[in-house]
Amino acid sequence: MSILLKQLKDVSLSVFPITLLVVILSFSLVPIESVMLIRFLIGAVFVIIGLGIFLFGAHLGIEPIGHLMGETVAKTNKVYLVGILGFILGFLITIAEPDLQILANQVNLASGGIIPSTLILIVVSIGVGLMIGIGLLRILFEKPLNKLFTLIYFIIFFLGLKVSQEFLAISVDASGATTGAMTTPFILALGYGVSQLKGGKTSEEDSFGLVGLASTGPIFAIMIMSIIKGLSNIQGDVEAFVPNTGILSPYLHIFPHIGKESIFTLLPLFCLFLIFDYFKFKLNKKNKNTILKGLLYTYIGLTLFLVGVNAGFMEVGRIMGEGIATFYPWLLPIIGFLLGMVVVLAEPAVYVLTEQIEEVTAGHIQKKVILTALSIGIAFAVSMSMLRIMMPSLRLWHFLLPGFGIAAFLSYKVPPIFVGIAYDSGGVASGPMTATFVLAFAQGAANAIPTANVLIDGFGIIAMVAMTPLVAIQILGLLFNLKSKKEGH
Amino acid sequence: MDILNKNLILFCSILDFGKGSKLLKLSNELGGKASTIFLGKGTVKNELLNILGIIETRKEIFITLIDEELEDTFYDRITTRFGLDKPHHGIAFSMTVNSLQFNNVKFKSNLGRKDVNNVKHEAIFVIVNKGSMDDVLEAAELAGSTGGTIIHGRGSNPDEKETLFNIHIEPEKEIILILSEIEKTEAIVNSIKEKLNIEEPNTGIIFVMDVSKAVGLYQGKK
Repeated sequence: MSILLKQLKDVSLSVFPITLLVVILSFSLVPIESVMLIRFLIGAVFVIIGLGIFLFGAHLGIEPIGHLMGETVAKTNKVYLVGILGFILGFLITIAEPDLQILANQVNLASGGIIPSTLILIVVSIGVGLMIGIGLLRILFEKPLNKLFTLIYFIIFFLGLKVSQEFLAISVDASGATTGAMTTPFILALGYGVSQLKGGKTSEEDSFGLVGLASTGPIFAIMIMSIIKGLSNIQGDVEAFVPNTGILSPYLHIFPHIGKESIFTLLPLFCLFLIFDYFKFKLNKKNKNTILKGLLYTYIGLTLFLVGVNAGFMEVGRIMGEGIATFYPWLLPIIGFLLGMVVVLAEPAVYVLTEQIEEVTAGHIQKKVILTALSIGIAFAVSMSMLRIMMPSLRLWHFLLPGFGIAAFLSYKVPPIFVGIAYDSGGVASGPMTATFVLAFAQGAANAIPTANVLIDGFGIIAMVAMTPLVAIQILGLLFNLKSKKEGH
Repeated sequence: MDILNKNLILFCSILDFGKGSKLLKLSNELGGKASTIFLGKGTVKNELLNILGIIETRKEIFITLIDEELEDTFYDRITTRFGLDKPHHGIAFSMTVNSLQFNNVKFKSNLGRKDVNNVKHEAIFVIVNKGSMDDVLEAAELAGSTGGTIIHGRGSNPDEKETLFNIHIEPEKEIILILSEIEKTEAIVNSIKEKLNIEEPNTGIIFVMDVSKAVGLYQGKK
């Protein structure tokens, strides 16, 4: 049983910092009702248990499926088949993502109903599918990742000149929304499976980068769509904020809804596994059962996690943001910084990524190091977003353009494996925890500051969270490089 | 270069993931040379966990070269530090080294080590194609083994010319390390041999090495 206890301990330690921060704030700067605080603490328990079960499930179920599919796809030995299969896999897992559906509705509203949400779903899924296809072929043909990313972001920059401010924010946000808790571990394992099968000199560094590529798909898709449709201004309003009542009622209310959503998230993966297993993997009963159990755990874990975040964390985030912005506006960037530091530790996909990094590099690049770099990166992201909310003259691209510019420059200076890890971290860090808690915090703050616009300033935060890890992890790579040169290896 | 005049042993230890770095530090203090850590997986022997689907756990495998005189100190310090005398806390074992190339000086060991005859354990290495691991462990268990460590690797296979987009690929392999008491070795090896038809070409290889000392072996409940 010591294995279970150890896992529980690890997970508790990763959720503890954010819980502590909120509790401290609630007793010092922003007093909140005791009912809400209790609800938050219950939420934290849900998040801990959910995260623990989810990670076990991801390890037993999603990762092996991704790994096996990667191998199977690569073994077809035909360029067009790898491309097509990559496309189909990417398309199917994206279209079922609940986060994407929420985003599609938002874009639909923001465009004043001109773009139907089903169209958005399909176009974004095609975008992700294409990128995964390209990403898999890149691994097989050993094309360097830094050049590919430079090219892609150059095109995005060019497209970005043509779209309005608001759609720039929405499209860059979309990249974070599509790489959810379920798809990210799968795509990570897919890339790892292909590069492991291929072997060779670059197999280590090629194990990363696929998530980063996949998350550029939606940016293209939405930008191109808004250019074709000639959209400029965004309309509509954010969903009205309804405060919860009671301690348990929000949980009971939200449970069936999230339970259903999680089924849809898992369904394509489950079906794909059964189909592939029947025709290709032909696993023995024991292994097949393990994977199916893993999928079940993933489902239970993800549901508990999301219920905890949505029912317990979101509201507190909003109240905190509002309270601090009203009474201590100058503290916003500092609190944002602290919040960013701790929130990323509770992000599920981050653990899947760090574990894969440890496995690929045989423990050379340790989890702690990656987590520290990510934590600092996200801290800056949230802090800068707060500045943007406070000062209307600061625009999103004032941060994004230099950020992506520096990231592209660094990608020629650091060891290749860090390029892949950095771009993957961007997709990994912008998971469900950030998307709900930090977003709610920012919306609360924007609500309380008269010069800010909740709708416009709300978008773009995920983009920041997806951008700063690129810089932070690559700087880490630079430091690694310097250190190992000093030691004379 | 005083190392040349002494008998060397290869000291190995298999611990839970994350403890490797601590062991490396300890080993450097004690005088271990050319230490290396790599990753593997260990089998889990717990019915409840197995039902839940947890059948393996991440391990770190640590190897280093030490002087024979240091062997006892090593075992003492590492056993107390990592609690190897308690079950499920990891294992440690050592093998004699016959020749060594170190710092450009060739070293020949004295083959007639005194305690080489009273070995109690042997290390069985099985290298098979990926996917056969379960069969190997099952067969080994039938013959009385209490578990094993799995290391992921790649290998060559001269008969199978598999290429991928004109790149020659090296098939994935699984290396299974089983530490067994000397009386059980033959049964375990034979059981694996039968299960896998290892006499057929391209199925895998088995080899056995003498272990001069071992601690932390799980003795089963029988």
